[in-house]
Amino acid sequence: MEISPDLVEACRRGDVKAFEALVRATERQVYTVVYRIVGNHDDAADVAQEVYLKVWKAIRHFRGDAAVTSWLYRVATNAAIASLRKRKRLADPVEPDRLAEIEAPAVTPAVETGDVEAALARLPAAYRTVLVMRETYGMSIEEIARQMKSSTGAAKVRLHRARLRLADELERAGVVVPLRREKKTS
Amino acid sequence: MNCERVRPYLTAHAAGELPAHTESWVAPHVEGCAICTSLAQRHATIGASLRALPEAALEPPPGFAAAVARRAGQEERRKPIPIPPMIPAEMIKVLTDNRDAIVGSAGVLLAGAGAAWLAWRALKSRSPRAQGA
Repeated sequence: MEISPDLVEACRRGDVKAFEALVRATERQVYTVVYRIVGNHDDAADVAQEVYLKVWKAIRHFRGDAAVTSWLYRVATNAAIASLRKRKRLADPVEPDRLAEIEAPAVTPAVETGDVEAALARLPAAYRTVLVMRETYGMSIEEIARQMKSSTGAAKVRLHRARLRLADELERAGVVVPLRREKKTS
Repeated sequence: MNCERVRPYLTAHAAGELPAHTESWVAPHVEGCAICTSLAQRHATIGASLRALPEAALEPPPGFAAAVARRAGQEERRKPIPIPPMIPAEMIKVLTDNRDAIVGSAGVLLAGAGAAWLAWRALKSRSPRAQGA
């Protein structure tokens, strides 16, 4: 997604028409990242609108030393996380003890994007958020920790648990063959 | 080396995120263990499908851009005072560098205003209406 410097400059001068053009050029990307974090369309529409209003207020001070799209993504993930925090949906779920062992090795075939999207939507918000930020948008652990206001160690643990939970979700949905067999408890 | 010790690092190993010193003992175990290899491969496959998710997969509601622009326009009109196109640090520097000139000009302006007021008072007191009263 290429945004011309002239368009950004016009927005900085307060040109609302230019800003509308900027929104049209970026709305699908921004809406998608917000939706992937908040997990539903109603909240995503509200948060995405909030994102653009923040951008509109701040664009006069945008120095242009980073791509405007990277800046937009940062504002979007921040706003989406803030919205989850406001709804108290960012707490880590309580994980059951993993009393599981592997039955037999198997090869996991490629997973369809539709199946991954559906499994992501079923994850707790805290897990969905770290996975989307890390895997889909390639953010560093440090950046994720900063945005989620946690330590890098906590972000790593959350990411590890989120990956395990996503694998479980895909197993439960029958997308990948289960590798585990529950341990018999006496 | 057993599987239990390696398992907490397996997802990060599959994503290539482990620091070298941890990778140096996790990788040899994974290579020699069929079950850990298949688990790592599973996480790598799922990670790859997450990375393949398109960045612009979803359409916002119809009329989204127009609605945002409308609200931006309202925000623009709501601004109470126009901000000079100068950042505060620069403004402070300009004021500091020209302090003497600014103080001098302000003094001249004040003296001029004072003289004008005195002249107006004098003229007013000499006017026929003032004398008659």
